[in-house]
Amino acid sequence: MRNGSIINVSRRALLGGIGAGGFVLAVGLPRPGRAQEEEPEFGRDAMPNGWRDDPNIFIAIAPDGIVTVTCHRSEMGQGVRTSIAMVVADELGAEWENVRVDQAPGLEEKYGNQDTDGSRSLRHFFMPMRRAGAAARTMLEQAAADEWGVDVSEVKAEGHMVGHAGSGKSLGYGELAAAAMDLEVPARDSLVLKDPSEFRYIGTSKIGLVDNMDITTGSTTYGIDVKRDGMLYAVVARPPVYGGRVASYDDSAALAIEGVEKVVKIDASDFPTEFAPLGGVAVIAKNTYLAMKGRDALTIEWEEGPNADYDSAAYHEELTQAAASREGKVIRDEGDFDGAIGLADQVVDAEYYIPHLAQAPMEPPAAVVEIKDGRAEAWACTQAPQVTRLRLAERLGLAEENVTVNVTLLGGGFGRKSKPDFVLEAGILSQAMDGTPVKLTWSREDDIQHGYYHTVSVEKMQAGLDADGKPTAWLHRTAAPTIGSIFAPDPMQKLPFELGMGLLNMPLAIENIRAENPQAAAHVRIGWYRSVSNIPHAFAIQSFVSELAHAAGRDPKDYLLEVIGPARQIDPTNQGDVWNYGENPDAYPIDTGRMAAVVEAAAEGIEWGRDMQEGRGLGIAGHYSFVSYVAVAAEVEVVDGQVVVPRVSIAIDCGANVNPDRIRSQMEGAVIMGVGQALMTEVTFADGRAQQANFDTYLVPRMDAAPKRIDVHIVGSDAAYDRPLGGVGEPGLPPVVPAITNAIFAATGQRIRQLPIADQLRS
Amino acid sequence: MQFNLDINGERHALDVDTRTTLLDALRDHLGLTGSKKGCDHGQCGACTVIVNGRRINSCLTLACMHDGDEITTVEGLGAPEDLSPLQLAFVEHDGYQCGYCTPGQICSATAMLDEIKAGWPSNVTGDLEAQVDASIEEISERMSGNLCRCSCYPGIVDAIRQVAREEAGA
Amino acid sequence: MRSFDYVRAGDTAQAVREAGSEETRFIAGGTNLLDLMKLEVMAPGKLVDITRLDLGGIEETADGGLRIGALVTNSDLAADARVRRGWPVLSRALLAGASGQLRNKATTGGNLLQRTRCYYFYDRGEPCNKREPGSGCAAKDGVNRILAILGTSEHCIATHPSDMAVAMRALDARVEIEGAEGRREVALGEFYRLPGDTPQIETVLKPDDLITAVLLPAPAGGRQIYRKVRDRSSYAFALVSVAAVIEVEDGVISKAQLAFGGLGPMPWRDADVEAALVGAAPSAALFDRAADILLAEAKGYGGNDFKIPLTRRTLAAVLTQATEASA
Repeated sequence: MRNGSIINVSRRALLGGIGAGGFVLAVGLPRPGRAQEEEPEFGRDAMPNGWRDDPNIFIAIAPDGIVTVTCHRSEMGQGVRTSIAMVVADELGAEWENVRVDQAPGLEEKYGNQDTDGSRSLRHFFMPMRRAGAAARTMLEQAAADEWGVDVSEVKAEGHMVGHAGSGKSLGYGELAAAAMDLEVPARDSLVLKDPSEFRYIGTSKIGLVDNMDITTGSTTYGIDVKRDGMLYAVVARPPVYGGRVASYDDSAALAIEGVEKVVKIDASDFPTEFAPLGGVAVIAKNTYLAMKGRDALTIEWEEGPNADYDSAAYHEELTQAAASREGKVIRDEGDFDGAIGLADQVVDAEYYIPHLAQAPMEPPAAVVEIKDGRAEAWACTQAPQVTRLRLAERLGLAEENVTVNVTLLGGGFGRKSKPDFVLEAGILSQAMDGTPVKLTWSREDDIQHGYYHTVSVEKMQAGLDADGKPTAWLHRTAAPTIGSIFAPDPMQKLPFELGMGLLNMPLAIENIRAENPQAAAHVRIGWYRSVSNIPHAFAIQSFVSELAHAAGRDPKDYLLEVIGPARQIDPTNQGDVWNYGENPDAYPIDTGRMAAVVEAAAEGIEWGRDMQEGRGLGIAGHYSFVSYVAVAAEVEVVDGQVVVPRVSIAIDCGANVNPDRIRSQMEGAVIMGVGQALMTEVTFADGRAQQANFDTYLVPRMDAAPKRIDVHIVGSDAAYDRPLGGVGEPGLPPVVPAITNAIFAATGQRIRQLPIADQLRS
Repeated sequence: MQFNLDINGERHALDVDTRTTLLDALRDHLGLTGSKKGCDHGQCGACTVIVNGRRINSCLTLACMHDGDEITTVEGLGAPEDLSPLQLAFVEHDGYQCGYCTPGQICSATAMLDEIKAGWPSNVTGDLEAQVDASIEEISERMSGNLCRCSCYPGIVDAIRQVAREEAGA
Repeated sequence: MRSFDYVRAGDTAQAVREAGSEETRFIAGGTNLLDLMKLEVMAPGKLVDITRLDLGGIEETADGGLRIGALVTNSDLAADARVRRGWPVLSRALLAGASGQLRNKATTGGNLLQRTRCYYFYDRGEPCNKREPGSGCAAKDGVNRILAILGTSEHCIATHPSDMAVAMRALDARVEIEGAEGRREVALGEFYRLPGDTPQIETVLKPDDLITAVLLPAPAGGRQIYRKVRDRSSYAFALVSVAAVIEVEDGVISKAQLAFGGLGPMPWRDADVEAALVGAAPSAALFDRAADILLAEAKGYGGNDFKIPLTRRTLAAVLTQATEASA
């Protein structure tokens, strides 16, 4: 059953005049030089290569009137090809059935930033795309006015044609296209954007995905489906341990296999490995099957390197010890934690653990590269085509302009496909074959055993409560390897953007707060996984608030609202968060009123407070991430140690809604992915090797595990379209797990502090 | 080894290694890339096709064992102008995000509804001898061989239930 | 996958003739064999395709039982009206296993012969006495939460993964085998072998033996229950499963046939457990005693210690349900 509601909560006007003072962090990637004294840039302005809104880049109109919108963001199921086209079509006054979508190659100097991550495609490009559509509309109107010799103010574009009320004349977009394209693009400040009341697509449901027909009939092309004439196929045997290298190898048996064309050693990169291939030995053959067979026939001696002893269970202990010490770097210190905890009537301690996770998109990484006349062309399921282009050019020794990266559809991404290592492997192998097109595919085992894993983490929490149960002191120690370890010599400490994912910027109405970050070394390749550091932070904070409610003898929802505190606007920089998802804290303060509103909506959606049967319970959690507000209320049933999540209510406030169907879909998907994280999903390591390989051991939720009822509540959908948008793809996930574990506590009295739950309720 | 595969009503002569799975034969030798590879070990169901009316994992069967069998892939279920009821229902109910698992989901669901019609019970069927209802629980259990990492299960279930209702009413 | 010769058998005699070496395997559904061949955990030099043999029927036998052809798919067997009515525990067990797609392919004979899902058996980089005799058992001190607590040896702690075979064991099934020396029948209880120091030998079958059918005796009656505890509610192997055929007469248990999955290297059955139950009035204490007997020799290996209390609870739950007065 899919119920839901759109709740209109009237929004207090955003407060102005909050001191800014943030700065931008560009993680790992080189950014265009910018003098220190320049004004700080935020949001889309601060992204590498920024943004474009020129209609000539994004919109083409054919003589038959077909409008082709070029989508420069990667489609991985979030619906961006549809959403971008909706925005352009609406401002353009185009008829939806005459709109097509083309996918841009990686070329940021032309399109602006293309890194499809961080839940920011619409957040950053909603306005530029509106302007592109409006500019094209204006140009069509001008062309018609010129044709008829009337003033442009007398004509109006709508419904795929421009009309002149005075004469009753009209011309279709196709007829006007050629003339319109010759006109100068109107100045940005001259554009008149549509009033949202005129929107026909933006904010509406049932538009459907532009790739509907191709998806349902099987005619889509994902990276793994690309075929080029004369193409060869390759797989790579990678070092089983992160940082390992090929010591020696014997390829005679592999080369003896008919159809195996060549065996190529790929050099491992030194630390930090960034997006470089892990190295290893590749086998190139006439088809993937033979390549895999060749790989099986290789004999390789590995030099396993510094991570050969990595054991995730032992490392859990190590993190626990790190989190027990007071040596960590202080990352937030307000009031007097030590004093307050000493005066507390009750002290509560808890420690939470989240394991490594693999993104495991249904389509494993795959790419084709061919090199001809000094030019390389790639076809890849990449979330980051420009970075792919840069790194491919560097690795192949080509000039950037001689490398083209075509973006296919992505069979899921979740952050894995932000890293172009697999495309580089294809490029290296094509080069080794004198430019012959080579398709490089990862098997599922490759994907799960050689990934960019979600970090492992211990979060130690301590709080002091006064006689009324009110928290007066709050300590959060976070110990986890950082993503920064792939970009620089392991900094051993979380980067600002990781701390800004729900740790520093969680609104807490508590006077004495201390947060510390002890050191933690990385032993596997760490990378973004949908929602990133928000996952451990939300699990710890939202579980702990519920534990405090229990210690105080209070209702968890009421207590959570009290901890969030009264409605106010918080400048995240005042809490030590200098990142703020790259956004301007003036435009994007933390709004506790919005946070409380989603908590209330989620609670109402699950009928919070109703009587529960034996073995059943309700739990709630709220979390702010990707500048959106999400709360989840979950109902669980525990039978024989087995957890079932029959019903979930999720509420999101992401500002104005561009594509409500996609918001709903992302929330539903996040809920179910979260059920998996709570119950079953983890990658463990022993002897430096991932111990899971395929979906029989790396457990992700199947249809039976999905809650039978998920209600999505979109709060604040009446927000004005000129207000900043929040993210949608990632913020749904973080509060799901603590809502479930809080519900388990309500159902059983057992507190889950370590994920996944697996057998914890069985013994 | 030489043999014939009857796919979507068309006979294809193949000459491939005996080790070739049906999935690799479809994708690499016949250019039918609608069937997807997600795990290659029968875990994910993205490769599901219908053989002699039954859904199977095409990655876990040898092509040469299907000489003369009738094989239906997603390409054979319907075309954009003539979608099958399930293809249409997946569109209407948003039964996918990235779409990668969708061909397998649709093939699986197509044959699964026939299994319900034939009265096959499932692990969640209360009374083994009673008529089976296409409930959320039944569909979820019967479709557990098809993974969707985007987790579009609510839309998938809605789509399948709609077709089940339509067929029951017809 | 290593290359192999492929032969399609036209009849049972030909199939048996084509077999006869350790290097040869029969293939029918192939869902487990091909999986293992892809991983090169198994690498037969020759496959004899038996799918065209006439072994796909279910017939009633003179004694009121069933003769289930070896090629009957798990789907067809679970859905067979006679099985659902007379041997419901078998339908339940089949439906609790694998996925719809796999049940459509997997056959009765193949299901009996599926190999353990022990991680170390699958991982060619690790020692495993079952895969490579004499190489050692990495599971004993490794990741063993899914592995056996009964019938293990120092050489192997693998479990048999089948659900179907657990129900069949509870139902006193017999296996019909066609070999070079003709046809014979073996009780399912004698069909499997404990690992001892030869864990690579799992059954009494010789290389040229072909399972042609499974024979079920007349319906056992009673209450039939299959309860499976696993990591996911669908498409997951059993951590512990119980197949039960229980009858209560005049407040006393008159029949108890119990087999267990997930505990041992074969579908587990313990006559002493059944003897303790028969003739006694159902009670929590009785069920506890039954569990004591069942688990007297149980040995955990760390990761699977939880199976001991889990088995106790699961058995109690099944017996409680089976002996409750009908509503």
